[in-house]
Amino acid sequence: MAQASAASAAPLSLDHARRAARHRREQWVTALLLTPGVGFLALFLIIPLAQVFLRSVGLAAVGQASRFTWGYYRQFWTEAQYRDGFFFSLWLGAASTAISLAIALVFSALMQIRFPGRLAMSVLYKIPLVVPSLVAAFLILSLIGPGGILARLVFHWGWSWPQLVYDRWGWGVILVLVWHNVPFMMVIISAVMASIPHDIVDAARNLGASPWAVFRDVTVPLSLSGISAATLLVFIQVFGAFAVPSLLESAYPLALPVIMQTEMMDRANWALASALGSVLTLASAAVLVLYYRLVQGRGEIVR
Amino acid sequence: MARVELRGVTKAYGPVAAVRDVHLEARDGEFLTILGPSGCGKTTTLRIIAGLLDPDAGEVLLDGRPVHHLPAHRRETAMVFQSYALFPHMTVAENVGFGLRMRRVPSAERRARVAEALEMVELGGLGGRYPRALSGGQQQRVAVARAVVTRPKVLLFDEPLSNLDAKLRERLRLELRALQQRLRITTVYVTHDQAEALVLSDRIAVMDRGRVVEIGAPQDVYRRPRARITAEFLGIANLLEATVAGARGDRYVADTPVGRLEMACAERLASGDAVTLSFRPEDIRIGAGGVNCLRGAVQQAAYLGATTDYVVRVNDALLRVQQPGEPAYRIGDTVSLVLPEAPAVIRER
Repeated sequence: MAQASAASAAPLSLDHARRAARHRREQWVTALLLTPGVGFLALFLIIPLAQVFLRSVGLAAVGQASRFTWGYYRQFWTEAQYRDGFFFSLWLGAASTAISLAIALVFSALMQIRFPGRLAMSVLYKIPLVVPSLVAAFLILSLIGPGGILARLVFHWGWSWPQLVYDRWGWGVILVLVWHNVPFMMVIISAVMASIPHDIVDAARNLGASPWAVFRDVTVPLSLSGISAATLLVFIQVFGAFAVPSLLESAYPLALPVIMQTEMMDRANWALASALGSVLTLASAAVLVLYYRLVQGRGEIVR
Repeated sequence: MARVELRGVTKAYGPVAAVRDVHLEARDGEFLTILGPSGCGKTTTLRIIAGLLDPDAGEVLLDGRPVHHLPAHRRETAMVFQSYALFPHMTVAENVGFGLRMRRVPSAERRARVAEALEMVELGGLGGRYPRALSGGQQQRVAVARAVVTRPKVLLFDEPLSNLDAKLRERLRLELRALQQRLRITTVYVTHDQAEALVLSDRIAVMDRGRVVEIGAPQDVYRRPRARITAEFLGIANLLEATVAGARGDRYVADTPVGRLEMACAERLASGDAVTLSFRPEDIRIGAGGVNCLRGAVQQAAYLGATTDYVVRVNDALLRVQQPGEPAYRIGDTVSLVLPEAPAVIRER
C-alpha cells in the first residue's frame, strides 16, 4: 500500500514541476507578446504625460533645481489671464460644437432623402475636411475680416461691416471651426443615420408623424451613438485648438493652448506651460468620462 | 370604415415597371389579399396605398375621395410591416401610443387606449418592456396593436407572418382573421403564402409581373382559376395543354398529352380552341371505371400524414395525385386514374 502510494507520488511531483516550468514559460511568452502594445503606450503616452505632470509640480526640470510645489496650479487659478484663457477655450469648444452639431444634424438628415444631385452633394460637403485649418482660417479671414471681400462690398453701398474676427467672443474663430467641423460631424452622423432601417422611418410616417416629428422622435434618438461620438471628438479637438485661435482671436482673452505656447517658447516657463497642459488634459478626460457615463445606459436600449 | 380604390396605378423603378395599370377595389370592411410571387409588385401596391410611394400614374381613392396627393402621415392608413419596424428606443407602450401621440390624443385617453389595444393582442402587462425583450410572435402582436390603436380607415399588412415559424404562423393567422372580423376595418393584406390567402381573405387578388391577373373569392380562385399563374400559384395544379376537338351538347372533348378527355364547361368553346386544363391532385381518383380513365405508372409516393402524394406518369406527362391515408401503391406499380369531368378551363396556354 505504502509502496504503491510512493510510486504514484514520484511521477506526480515530477509532473507538478513540469507544469510549473511550463507555466513560467507561458508567462514570459505572454509578457513578450504584450510588449509591442504596452511598450508603445508606455513610450509614447504614459512617460511623456508623466513628465508633463512632474514638471507642472516643479519636479523633473532640466537644468533647474527640482522642488515640489502646487504653485503653478495656484498661479493658473489666481491670475486672471490664465483662468480667462481656460474659460475662453471652454467657450470656443462649447459654442462651436453646439453650432456644428445643429447644422450637421439637419444636413445629415436631409442627406438621407433621395434627391437629384445627392451624390455630388455628398462629395462636395466633404471638401472642408481636406483643407488644413490654417488655410481655412485665411479663407474665412479674407471673406469676413476687416477689409475682406464682404466688408469692401458693403462699404461700397455705404454700410459698415460688423467686427467678426478679433472680437471678444471669438466669433471668427468659432466660424472657422464650425466650417471645418460640420463635415467631420456629418460623416459620422450620416453613417449612423443611414443604418436606421427604412421600415422604421416609414412606420413613423405611416403612424402620422410629420417629417419634423420623424426627425425629432425617431432619427435623432436612433442616431445618438454617432451624435455623442461626434460631439465628443469635436469638443475635445476644439478645446485644445491652437492654430485657428492664434490667428483670429483678439488680444484678450487668449485661448489656453495659445497661452501655453507663449509661456513655453517666449518665456521658457516650462513648468507653468506643463501645468496648463495638465489642466487641459484633465478637463478633456473629465468630458470623456462624462460621455461614457451618458452612453452606457443608452447602448443597451438601442441596438 | 372605408372603401379603397386603385385606378390605373403605375409605378416604375427606372426602366422596370413594378406595377402596371393596376385597378383594384377593397370594399368597406372587406379583407382583401394580394397574392403573388416575390417581385410581382404586391408590396409596391401596398406602399402606394399607404403613401410611402408615389405612383407615376393613376389614382388612389379612399371613400371615393382622391388621396394620392396626400403625404403618408395624413392618409389614415395603418401598416404592419414584414420586419414589424418597432421603434427600438421606445417601450412597447410607447410604440403602441406613438400614433396617438402624433394625433395629439390627451395622455389619459392615450394610456387607456394603449392598455386596451395591448389587452386585445394578449400582451397586457408587457407595456414597460423594450421590443428586443420580446419574442418574434410578441413583436408581431405589438405591431398589430400599434396599427389598430389609431382606428385607421384602412389596415395594411405586408407579409406580417413570414418571419415566424410554421406553428405560430398558423395560430396567428386565425387570430388575425378573428380580430379583423371583430373590428371590421377594411384590410389589404399582402402575402406570397397561398394558405394564408385562402384562410384570411374575403377576396384574393392574384398579381403577376406588375398586373392584377385575377380577383375573386378564395373558393373561386382555387376551384375555377381563370389564369394559369393562379392555378400554379394557389396549391398544386396539374396543368394540361389541350385543344378542343369537338362538342357533344354541353360537353366537350379535348386532345391532351395524356389522351382524349371528356369535360363539361359552362363557357362556350369552339372546336380548335387552345386551352389549359387544371386538375387539383385531390380531385384525381385512383381506381377504374367511367370516362376519363387513364393508365399510368407510379414514379414517386410520398407519405404526408393525412394523405399520400403520388407522381404518376401517363404517356409523357407527370400527374400529381393525392389520396387519403397511407401509401397503397409502390413505385413502378401500374394504376388506373380517373380524372374529373369538370376541370378548370383556362383560356390561355
